[in-house]
Amino acid sequence: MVVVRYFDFVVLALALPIFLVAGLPIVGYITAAAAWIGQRAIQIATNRRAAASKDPRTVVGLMAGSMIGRGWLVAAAIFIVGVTVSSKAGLAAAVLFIALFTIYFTTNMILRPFDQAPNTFDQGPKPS
Amino acid sequence: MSRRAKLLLFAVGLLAVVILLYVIFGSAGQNNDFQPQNEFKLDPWLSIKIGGVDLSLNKAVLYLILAMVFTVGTMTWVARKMAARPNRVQTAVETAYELMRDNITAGNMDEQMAKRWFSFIGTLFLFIWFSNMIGYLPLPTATEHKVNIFGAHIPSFALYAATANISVTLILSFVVWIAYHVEGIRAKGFVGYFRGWLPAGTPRGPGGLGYAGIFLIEVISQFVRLISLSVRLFANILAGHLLILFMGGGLVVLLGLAALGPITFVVAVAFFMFEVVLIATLQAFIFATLASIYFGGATAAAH
Repeated sequence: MVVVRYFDFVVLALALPIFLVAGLPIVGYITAAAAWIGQRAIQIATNRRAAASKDPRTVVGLMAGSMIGRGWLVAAAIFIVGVTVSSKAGLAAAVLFIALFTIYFTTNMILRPFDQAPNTFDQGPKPS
Repeated sequence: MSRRAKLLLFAVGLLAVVILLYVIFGSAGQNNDFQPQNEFKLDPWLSIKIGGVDLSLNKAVLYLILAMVFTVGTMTWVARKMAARPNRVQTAVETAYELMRDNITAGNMDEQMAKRWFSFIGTLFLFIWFSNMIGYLPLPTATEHKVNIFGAHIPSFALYAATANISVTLILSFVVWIAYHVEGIRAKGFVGYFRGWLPAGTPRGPGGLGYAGIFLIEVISQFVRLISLSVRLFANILAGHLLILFMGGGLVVLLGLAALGPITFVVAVAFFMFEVVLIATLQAFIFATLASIYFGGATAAAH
């Protein structure tokens, strides 16, 4: 289950030899990897803070802020690399990032039911 | 700092970034190379033509196959793992099962009909739900723009949904439309079913003109159901995808205004979440519920 949960990181690691062998811009890989790890770290931190809070407005604010902020972070990183290094490096970073997002989104959807809080059925029948 | 002050500061900061980006990059002018409508173009991947009928495999077919595999695979997997003490997945699926059985199906038709048609309505709901959800996964299907990896030209990532194609929603609606008419005729007989289209108390009018008028309106309303059922699902999913496409970068590229990006990107994230969390499930629910209501209406004694 742990491998599935963090499968995006497995793919990120597997992408490195592909970038090296295929001669793709390594700056693109570094950008996508840094952006992905950074935004995932922010997501985990904000999720923890949201889970600890009992105020729904704080939870919504944290989640919305995290989502928008992470999006900006990634878009800005790709944009800066695309403008300052080369558009090819920016494109490589964007493609890798989107591939990672697809994998993360898919595994997240699969794992969501497993992460839901157990209901009373999970306790099983009461002993008579 | 108050919440209002924080929001104001955020808005001012955002505006400053937009102005800064405009000062640095200016406007690249309108981009005529980018054709957003091509995101929905169906290039044949494998051309198959039988007797003038185009049965080519394209990305819409791929999305339909994916939706079918997910629907059948997930439900079969859960069914095989059923236990007296359900785990969390089984509990989630059982909740969806109860929604489909009790609310969508049994809530809109009699018990015997619900037993007969539950599997169809349930499958319809799940198939549309999976179809909609897969539509929010960026998949390498954009054959217009390719990425070169090891010499292989791999299509770039794009969002597409089978339900954003009118042909798919129309055929789903057509199956429902035919099925509920057949079921109505089976329940009431051919003449009885069509006689039921005239509400009780309809005045006959001179020469049966009253009956004819109301019957004509009912005939039109039956055909309109076919259109409304298919267009509602298609238009909602297509509009959602277009909004994400334009806000997520399409508008910036089209207008050549990089400065717009920080604002439109926020809207894109908001639309993406709105579509995934609400619209995908809501549209599947509405389609299945309306199909169920039509079945119930066609066989109800009073209609």
